[in-house]
Amino acid sequence: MRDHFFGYPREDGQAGIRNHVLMLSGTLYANPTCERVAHMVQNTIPIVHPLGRCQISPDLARTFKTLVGHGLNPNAGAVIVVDHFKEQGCTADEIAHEVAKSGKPVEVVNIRREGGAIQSLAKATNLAVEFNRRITGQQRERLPLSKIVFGFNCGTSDVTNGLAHNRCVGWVCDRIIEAGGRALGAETTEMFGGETLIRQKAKTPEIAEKILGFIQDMEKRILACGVDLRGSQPTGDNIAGGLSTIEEKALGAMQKWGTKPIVGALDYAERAGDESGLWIMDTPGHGGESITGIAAAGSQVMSFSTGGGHTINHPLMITMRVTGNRESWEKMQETMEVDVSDMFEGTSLDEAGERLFNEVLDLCDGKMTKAEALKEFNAFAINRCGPSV
Amino acid sequence: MSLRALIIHPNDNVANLIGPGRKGESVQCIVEGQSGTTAISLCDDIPANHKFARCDIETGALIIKYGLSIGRASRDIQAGQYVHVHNIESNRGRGDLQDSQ
Repeated sequence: MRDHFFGYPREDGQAGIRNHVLMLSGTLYANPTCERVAHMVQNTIPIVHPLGRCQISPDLARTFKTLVGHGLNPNAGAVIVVDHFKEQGCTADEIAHEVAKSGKPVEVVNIRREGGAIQSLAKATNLAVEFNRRITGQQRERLPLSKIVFGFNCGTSDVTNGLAHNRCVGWVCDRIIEAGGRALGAETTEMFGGETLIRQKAKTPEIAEKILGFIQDMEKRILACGVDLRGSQPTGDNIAGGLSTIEEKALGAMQKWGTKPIVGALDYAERAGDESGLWIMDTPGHGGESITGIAAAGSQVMSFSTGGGHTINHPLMITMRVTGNRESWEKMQETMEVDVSDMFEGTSLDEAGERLFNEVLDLCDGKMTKAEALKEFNAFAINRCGPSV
Repeated sequence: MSLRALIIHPNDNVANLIGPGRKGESVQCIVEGQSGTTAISLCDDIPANHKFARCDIETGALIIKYGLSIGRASRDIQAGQYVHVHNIESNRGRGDLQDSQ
């Protein structure tokens, strides 16, 4: 079993598995600048979204924390933050100030200050070229697995999730944690019915209570809507795939958690602590919002397990798609990396789990996912708790 | 190969078919981590990998999978019958039941 990977050590102690220039949009009106620069300049990744303005303060703080978390993610070697005018509490200057604490190169482009969209595009393009020249000479170094924050998530789940591929993800979590690394899961809605398991797995009663609190708060918000959750969770495609209730989906989803104790519970987009072990974040089941929270926490690589097949790919955190459903693999393998459907024909968990583990480490070494090669950037979505105002 | 089904926990009262099944077919049920199988006859056509009942389940009784509750029976279910949204319902996130509780 491999005990190392080749990555980019960062000044703040994290390790990148990519060395991108990040075009980080502070607000929706800066999105085109970020997208245009990323289109023109190699190795440059856009983070764009519709938020950062007219949000109530807890939401704006969540947007800010998520954007800062992406700037701090070790897969970004340098960051250019673009904003429009002045979004109090979430300006490019404020975001850059936080990201600069990591020691990586950071610059700000404010569209009004630069004299408009064309001037700011020219400035941001020049900066992106300069940053690429500055960071791309860095060589990968041999690093221990303790540097990995292995994210995991699932979506378009069906009954094969809990029987096959989610168990492989749990196997990989166990190996990463045994090597001193961290594994990071989420999806609060997909813990409904799993409270007994959470109490068993939490290292302390306080950690269990915090996660059970996430579940209670989520269920209260759902009950307040006065409708049956079924149809929204499990989704229509979950039901078509044989999952009858949220509890069944949840208990299948929690097969990803492996056998190691939960060492901490995180709020949405909160940075993971240093302790090796399993970390759990409060996010909705919504795939894009959930994996964006995990990327903000500092995860470089994640496994996204799916029964029905998926195109999901986070722009910055390397996203490996795995299925245990042979039909879905045949239909959706254009954007999926690993098939473990042979588990239904007798392949052992150890064998299938090691296949997944090896793919994760190959991705850490620089091997591209299919969606990365396709630039299928579709899963940056910031969770929100209130309305636009 | 004969039709097979997986039972994840010995206490489970539902099993997941491996592949699709037809009414009247006999299924070999494998309990995870145990040797040997038991046979059960399907009462319905069942889509690939979906669930069927291992035993008779009365209306209101808990549906057990992974050794834990995944909901309750919304009507009587016979051993070998297809189990899905038509005959089981969730106990969680039921905002639709708030007024009647």
